[in-house]
Amino acid sequence: MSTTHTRLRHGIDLVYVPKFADLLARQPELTARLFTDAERAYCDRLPNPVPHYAARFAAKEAALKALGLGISPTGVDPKLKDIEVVRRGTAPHLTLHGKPAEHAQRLGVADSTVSLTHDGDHALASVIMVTKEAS
Amino acid sequence: MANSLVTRERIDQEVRAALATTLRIDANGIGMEQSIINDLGATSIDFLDINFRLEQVFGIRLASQLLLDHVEEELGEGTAIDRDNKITAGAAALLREQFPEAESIKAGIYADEVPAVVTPGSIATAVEKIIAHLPDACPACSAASWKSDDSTKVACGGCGKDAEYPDGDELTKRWIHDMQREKQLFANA
Repeated sequence: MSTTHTRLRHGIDLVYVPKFADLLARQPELTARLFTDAERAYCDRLPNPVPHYAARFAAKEAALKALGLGISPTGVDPKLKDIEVVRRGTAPHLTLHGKPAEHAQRLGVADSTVSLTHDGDHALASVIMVTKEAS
Repeated sequence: MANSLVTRERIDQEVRAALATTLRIDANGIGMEQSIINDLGATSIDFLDINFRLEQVFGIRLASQLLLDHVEEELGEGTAIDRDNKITAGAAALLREQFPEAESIKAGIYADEVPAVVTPGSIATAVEKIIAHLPDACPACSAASWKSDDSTKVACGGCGKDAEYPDGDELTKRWIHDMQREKQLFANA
């Protein structure tokens, strides 16, 4: 008889907003390379989009950590854009595409949750994934 | 030598400068074999900056994907990382070819341990491999002479157009297939 084990995977990331703002100012194409159309539409309608972009970038990195892939040392890793933060009502949700989605499936990720916050110079994201493993 | 106009010494110098500026540390204190993450304290945002600076300086595009991602894309899902998030024997062997100094790389380590093997030296080697592909002649005007005013960015000696190199992702993919043909590191690929 097989049993199902539930395991939690957690990732967290903190972004220094002024540093991220400087990057976006020097690399204007960065938003299109890192963020989906929906993410940009959400952030760009706000009076100050940068902290929201920073929080979403933190969520992408937190998701990579939760997936056990660690931080991305290659610059604009296409996996980052494949990790999308979407709004449902007032709450953010994580949607995975491409390689992150394939990797999550391989690990048996059944559900995930993301939480974002920012205040002043810092933006933070926490991602929890639940895996179901048969044994 | 990377090509006759851009030396490895010049590349090392620019890598140190990019790291020093981004991380706000002394360039002279940076060892080429130090882990950029574990020893120099870089975060993912820092890599966005470091790579961008080097791409601007040399007029190149560095690989945007990790070797492990390229292996899975080229040779199939599960060839580099197993269901337990550990790297396969084939991936470990390939990583040791790319990072010969990284003794921590072995089959069975977790995938999230791999980014720590990136060093100033490995980034300089990545730059060097790209600019070694300077074409014999300018694709725009066919002139067979190149020049560089600053020993970093190369331009055609005839029409003045900046040299165009294959990007790092393209070169990595070619290298994976060459290594697989030569060494058969991935048995089921």
